[in-house]
Amino acid sequence: VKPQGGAATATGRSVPERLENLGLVPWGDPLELPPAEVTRLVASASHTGLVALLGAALDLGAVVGEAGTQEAGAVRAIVREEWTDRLATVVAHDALLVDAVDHLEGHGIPTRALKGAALAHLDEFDPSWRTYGDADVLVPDDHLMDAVDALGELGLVPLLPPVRRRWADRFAKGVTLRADDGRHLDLHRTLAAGPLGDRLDSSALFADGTPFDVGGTTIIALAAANRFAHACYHAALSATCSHRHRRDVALLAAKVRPADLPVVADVGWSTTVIAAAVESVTDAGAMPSDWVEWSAGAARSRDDERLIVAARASFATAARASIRDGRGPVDTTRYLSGLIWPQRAHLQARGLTRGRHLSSLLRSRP
Amino acid sequence: VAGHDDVTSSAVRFARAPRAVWRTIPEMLVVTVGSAAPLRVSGSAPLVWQVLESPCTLDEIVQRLQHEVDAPPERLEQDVSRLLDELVAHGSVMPQ
Repeated sequence: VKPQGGAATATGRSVPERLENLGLVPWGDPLELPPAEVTRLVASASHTGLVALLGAALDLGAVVGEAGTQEAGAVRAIVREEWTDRLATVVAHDALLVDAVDHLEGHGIPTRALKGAALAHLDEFDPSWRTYGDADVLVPDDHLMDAVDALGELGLVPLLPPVRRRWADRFAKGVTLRADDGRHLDLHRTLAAGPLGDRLDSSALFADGTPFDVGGTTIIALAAANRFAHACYHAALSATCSHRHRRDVALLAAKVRPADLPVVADVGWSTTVIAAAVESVTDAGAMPSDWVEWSAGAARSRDDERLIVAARASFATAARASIRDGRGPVDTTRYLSGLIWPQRAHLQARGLTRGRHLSSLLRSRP
Repeated sequence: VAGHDDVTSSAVRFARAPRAVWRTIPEMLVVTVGSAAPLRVSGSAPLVWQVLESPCTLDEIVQRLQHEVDAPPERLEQDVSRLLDELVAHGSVMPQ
């Protein structure tokens, strides 16, 4: 099998699609990759997660360099070097996660580790198969800015000052913080922007969790059912659903059953969003059959389907959907007033004057 | 950092530093602690790191690795000693 330029392999799937399912479905015969294809995969964006999976596939013998070429050894070395680079980013962010979680706990702010670190340690076949470029931490929805203040003591500062402090505490999905050495920590107040995030019961997300060890520190992730729902939200609501998004859903689908959905629904997760994610992953071939059957028969909410479309579009579209979802007049006024009249530091960080901000809002009016 | 002979004298036990975080792939260890730049070390480093799950002396590490690494004992001891120096200097391993 000698795929060219991401062409389909003998299984009818492209090389990235096969790597996405590494370990999840039977692989078959070793796949011979020409150097040009390997170069393309190594250059793939970090958010796809393909370099680590390619490295793992090479180590397992699932992928081999093109037979008879002198470049086979060099190709392997290039992949390992790139994989190692990405793992260096991973451990740097695991160290940040440990420091941040410990510091927040010291301030009495509970945490739940999300996405990359949690998936790598709890759900991936081997932690080195999952790469990521930031640390993600959820805090209770009424503690976002308290957590920002606490992490400021570690030198972590918001990448972009929030619209307004109270606005962030009530409406923001989260705040991205940056350390002076360039590491990033995404501090989440909720797990989706707008109405879909507002529906999630923060206390229910903190009611249980799954512990794991990083550097001798116990970190707590969301419980498996909530990790699955979060992976589905990430896949369904992102503008581009990458190989890594789909793999995350498939990995967690193996741990959670459709019978667990009532518990998930009690937290406020939308089964429409979960069904959309399951459906998008089903084509890749790694979803357990019970989930495929469930998504085929799942009832969908038209309102939630509209919110999925809005979330994948621009911020302005998502914000308009947020207003239409009926927060009530007081909250809607507060939400809009923050967007119309943000704090000066927020505008300055975006390179805007108040006049330019207001005129751009008028131009984007529906 | 102590000199080579001091750090790896047979009485010293080595342990992973508290809060050291790492990933291993075959023949490669990537490790960091706190805000230190991640260290990448190849060869038998993942095996040494695995042995360091419990504090060990240099002799104990070499003894454990002899069954897994195809190298003469003197060469193995030199390599492990050099690796421990590097890990101690980085802060991801601590002599006790």
